[in-house]
Amino acid sequence: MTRTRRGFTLIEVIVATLVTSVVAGSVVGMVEAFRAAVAVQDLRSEAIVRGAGVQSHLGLLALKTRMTLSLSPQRILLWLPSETLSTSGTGSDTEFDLINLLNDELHWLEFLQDQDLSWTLIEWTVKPGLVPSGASTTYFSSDGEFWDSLFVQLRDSEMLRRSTLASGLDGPQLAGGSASPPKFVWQTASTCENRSLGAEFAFVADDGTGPLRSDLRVESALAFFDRHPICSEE
Amino acid sequence: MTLIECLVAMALVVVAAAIMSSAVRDGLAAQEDALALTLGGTAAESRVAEYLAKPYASIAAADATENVGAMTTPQGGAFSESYSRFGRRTIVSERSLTVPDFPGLSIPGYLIQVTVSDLWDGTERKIVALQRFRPRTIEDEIAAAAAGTP
Repeated sequence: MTRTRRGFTLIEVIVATLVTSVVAGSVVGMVEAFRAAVAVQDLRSEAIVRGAGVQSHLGLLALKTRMTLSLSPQRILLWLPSETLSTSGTGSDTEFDLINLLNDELHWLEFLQDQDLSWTLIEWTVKPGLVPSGASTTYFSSDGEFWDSLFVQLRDSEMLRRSTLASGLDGPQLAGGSASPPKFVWQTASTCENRSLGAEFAFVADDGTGPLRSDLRVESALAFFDRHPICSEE
Repeated sequence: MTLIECLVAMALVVVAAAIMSSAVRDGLAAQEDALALTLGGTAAESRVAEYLAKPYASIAAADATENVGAMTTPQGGAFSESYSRFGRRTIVSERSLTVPDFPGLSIPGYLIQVTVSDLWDGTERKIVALQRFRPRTIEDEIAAAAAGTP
């Protein structure tokens, strides 16, 4: 004996299809929102961690920096003396004046633009082994151009070590939406007077729907700012 | 599978998706708070750095408030868009520090207190509070003597 099984009615099928499409639509929407939220979350996490890293490194440099020798929006030069503070305090030319390239006393920080137009924050330090013994020291100068030409000379001679502090950067977005290149900030452009250093930049990532950005501004005071005797004579 | 079973299954899917979405939203809110903490910290540090860097003689006792979206950098410029949700209060007061192991020793200076807040559901919420002491150093005293100020 066969038993015939009643199929779905047209109304049931239509209702089921309708409900299925509504549910599918909302689930797809949620998944999309989920994906976008995770992308934003990732960028923020990365910005927090990388921003804290840059802030920490700049803070450490500010702690050790005696003076900022050269200041421009995309490149600054820090002088981190290697002699002890008690020796520095004598004001003796031989100890205080001399900047020893072999002792990691000069640190250039530079924002460089890459081919994809994003910016990278670079730290340049001298490679001690490559500097000829006759050129291992230099004397203090408050002339920024002197330091710029030394930088070019050392960089072109491949005597500088390049370390990347942060990449994928852009400039900060100001109120109104206009963006500018990333830049260093300081209290005053005078080498003899400046007692702070900082930077303004933004971390940028693209999640496929458009760029996501997180601006950051870090600034630190030079903890042991110590003016060179020449500054008092100027 | 009956229609009822199918509908129940769909309802379960919707509930699961809603729970997942809510978890992500909470995670995002936590990240937002962490980012606010980072940005608020840098805004407070910026103000402290300004007071530690400026000439001692130019510091004076003050109690200044910058409203939300009106903070300015030490250089007088505007903060970028990310900082537009923050406001800041700076209190500078004369203070002398005593050192417990050195009776009679008193170090004059300024106490710099900076608080950064934002608006959370329309009410002000304190995010970061920093305070630093700027001592009056021997160099500051020499500079004051040279300038003829006490």
